[in-house]
Amino acid sequence: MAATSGFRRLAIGGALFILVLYGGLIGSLVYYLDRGQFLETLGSQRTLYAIGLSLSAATLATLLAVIIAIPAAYALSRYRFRGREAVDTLLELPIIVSPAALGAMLLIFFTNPVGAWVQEHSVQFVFAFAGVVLAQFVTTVGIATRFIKAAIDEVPPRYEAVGRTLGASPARAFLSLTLPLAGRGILAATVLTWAKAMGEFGATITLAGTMAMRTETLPIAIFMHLASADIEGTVVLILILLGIGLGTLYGVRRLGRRGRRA
Amino acid sequence: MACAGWDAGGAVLELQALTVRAGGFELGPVDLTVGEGECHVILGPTGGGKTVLLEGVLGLRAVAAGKVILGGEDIGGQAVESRRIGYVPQDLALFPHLSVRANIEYGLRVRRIRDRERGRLIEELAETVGITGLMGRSPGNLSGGERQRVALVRALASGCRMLLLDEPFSALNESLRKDLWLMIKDLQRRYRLTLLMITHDLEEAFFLGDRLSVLIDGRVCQSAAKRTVYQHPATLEVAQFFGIKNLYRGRLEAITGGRARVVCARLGTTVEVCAQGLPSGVGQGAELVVGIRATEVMVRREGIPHPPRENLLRGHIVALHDKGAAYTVLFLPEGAQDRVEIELNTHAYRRLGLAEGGVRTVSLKQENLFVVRGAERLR
Repeated sequence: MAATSGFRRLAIGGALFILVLYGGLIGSLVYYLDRGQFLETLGSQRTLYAIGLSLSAATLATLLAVIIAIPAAYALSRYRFRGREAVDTLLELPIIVSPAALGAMLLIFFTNPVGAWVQEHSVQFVFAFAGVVLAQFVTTVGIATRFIKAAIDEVPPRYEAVGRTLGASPARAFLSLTLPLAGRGILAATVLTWAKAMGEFGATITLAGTMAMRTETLPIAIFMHLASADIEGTVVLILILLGIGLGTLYGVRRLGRRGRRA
Repeated sequence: MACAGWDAGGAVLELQALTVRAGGFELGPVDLTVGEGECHVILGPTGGGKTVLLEGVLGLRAVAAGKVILGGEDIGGQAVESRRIGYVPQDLALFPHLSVRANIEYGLRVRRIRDRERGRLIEELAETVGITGLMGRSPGNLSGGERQRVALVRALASGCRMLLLDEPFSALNESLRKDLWLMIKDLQRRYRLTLLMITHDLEEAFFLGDRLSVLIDGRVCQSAAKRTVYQHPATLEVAQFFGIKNLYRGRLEAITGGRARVVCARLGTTVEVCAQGLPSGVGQGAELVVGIRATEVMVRREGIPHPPRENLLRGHIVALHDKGAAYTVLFLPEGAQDRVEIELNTHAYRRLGLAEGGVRTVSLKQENLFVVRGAERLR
């Protein structure tokens, strides 16, 4: 019994350590928080633009990542095909190489003839909004696929097999059975992908630069304020990013709980 | 046809040299015929390829060679959804996010059956199997027996041409399982269902099956009417799968007048068997295995004259075991090294008044003996 209590204390201690660590970091921001500065920074056009840019780019990048990740995750979960192992390994690329390296790889790509042709004949990515979205998409699509694959793996293939014996095509069986059954996992993956995209910095700054009112997302704005020794402004921007991120996570969790009850 | 969703027309399944691969395992070649309105049970030990066979028929696994013919049409190249073969898997796979009604309606919606027709069909089937009150429930809130019924109705309602059952009753208690056997029999009669079912439960196989096939290590060792399979296993492996303990090495001594004499040295006697029951192509001197089920060994009452040619063995009772509904008696014939296992129902046991050490006569009737090859494999 004593051993069980000791183990329990150790486990809970680990959990509380995380609370103290992150809580302490957030709490330390209060030291530099100034109400007037807060309202001034929050109301500034540059900050509002950065918020709008971060929200729109992260949402668009997440949407694209999930659209690609769902079929990719399904293929990795259910099919054996040539190149499967390679795809599975490369999903972790954004984690293995730093986001800055990933951004550099994108930048290098757009300087080669193929990349230059793409930019010339489609959309301008380098130092542009599309670049912000692309950087966030590239850094999140692998992780989104990994999370969604885990959700699909949880759904026994037997459901689809039975659905098909009842007359459903493979696509219909997937859409009507596997997708709703993996829905909660896919929703969680989407939220985490969005949160990661919101906080993305390295690849974005490398590909899209730091142009105010153009490619300055919230993380880039934080970096710019810190670089100019504006600690009070940095604190305000961090709190805004925290508020948006944690607020969204909380909202989605509540939604998930309500869905479960229904 | 009482049930509009059920289309038994031409529902005859033929497997011709069917070969299916699953990883390193190869099933087949399997030749099998399931007649219209028949329940054909595939029986065999775990890992023998029963589920692989069903998956091959359903199209869930690619056929490596051979044909799957349903109603005269080769469906081997058709997609799963085009085959119209109902399927109840072992885990039932009721869709957990749909209500019982939505589960049953799934196949009907996919096939675009009109609302009115759909409602009528579901009501009829639900009433037949007694699940009318469960329609709004979630599969997670059903008992084991209710889940089985819903899975059956879902498969039946889809308008399939035949139904494949993959050990659907294995997780149920005995009483519930037997209730469902009766329900399956009733449905089979009512709708003239053609069923292909797999199980490793011998009692279930003999209760439900019209014909049985025994599948061991990916090969069909025997396929025949259930009575034949029960009394005359075709191979040593089939006999051993049925748990028959009375298996004795023997040498074919002579065949005269439709009867064959087999010397069973370890049994200390020579038995007479029907020559018709000998494996094809065996001649004098062939090494064989003679067997008989424990339930088919007769213990003779003392003082009553015995009919001739009943392979009478005199010996003593070594042990008696009370199994509740029956007794197992171990009998050692005079001059024998191997024992004979006898199973008697309680009534017969009491009437015979057996006791350990008692000297008795048993008979191994010719019609109950079977002879198979494989003496070299008998331990």
